[in-house]
Amino acid sequence: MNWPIFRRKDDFSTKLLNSIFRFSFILFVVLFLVDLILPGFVTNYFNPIWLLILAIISGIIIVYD
Amino acid sequence: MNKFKILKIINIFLILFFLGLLLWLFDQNFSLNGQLVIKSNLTKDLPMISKLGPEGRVNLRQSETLILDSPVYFDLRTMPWFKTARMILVYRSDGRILSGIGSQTGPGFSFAVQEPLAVNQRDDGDSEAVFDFNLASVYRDKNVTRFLIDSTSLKDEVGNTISLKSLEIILTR
Repeated sequence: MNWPIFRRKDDFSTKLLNSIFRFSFILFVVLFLVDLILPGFVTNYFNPIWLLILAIISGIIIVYD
Repeated sequence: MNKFKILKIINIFLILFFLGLLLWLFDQNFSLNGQLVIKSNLTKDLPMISKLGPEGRVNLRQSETLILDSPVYFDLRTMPWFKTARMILVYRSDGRILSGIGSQTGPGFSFAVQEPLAVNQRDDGDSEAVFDFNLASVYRDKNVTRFLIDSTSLKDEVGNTISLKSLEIILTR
C-alpha cells in the first residue's frame, strides 16, 4: 500500500495498529467469555463481533505491510 | 508533540474506552434503580425480546399486529438476577378475547397461563392488561424464557382477531 500511513514497518502506523489490534482482540475475548457465562450480558446491548473485525483488519494490515 | 506522546495518548484513550464499555455494560445489566424496561417491537426480533410467532397465527404489519389464532409465542432473554417481570399488554379485541399470558415452566410444551391482574379500558378504546410473573420459577434455556399469549375466539368464525398495540416488560431485581 502506498498510503503514507501504511508505508514503513516499525513506524507510528505499525505501533498504532499494534495497539488497536491488542486492545480490540483482548476486549473481544473478555466480552466473549462474559457472554458465554451469562448469555445476553453483552449481546443484549452490543455485538462484540465488531471488535473482532477491527482486530482482524488491523492484524492483516500489520502482517502484509 | 512527538509521535511517541500521541501513541501514549491513543493507548490511554483505548484503555478508557475498554473500561467505559465494561462499566456501561454493568450499568445496563444491573440497572442501578433496580428496574429494567423492555419494549417489544412485536414485528421484529430484538436482542432481549423476539417477535411474535408462529407466522400463521399472527399477522405482523408495521401499523398493527393481529393475533389470528391461539397460542402465539415470544421469547424473553433476561439476566438471572431479575426476579419479577411485569408485563403490560395494550390491545384491542375484535371477536377474540385475551385469556392470559403463560410462562414456560419446563422443557417442551409446559406453560402456566396466568389471567391478567387487571384490565383497564383506555380512553382511545384499547384495553391494557397487566400481568406479574415470578421469574425465579420459570424455565430458562440459556437465559431465554418462552411466553405464550392465550386467546379465545368468541364465535366459531374465521377472522376474529386481537390487535396488539404494544408490549412492555418491566424487570425488577
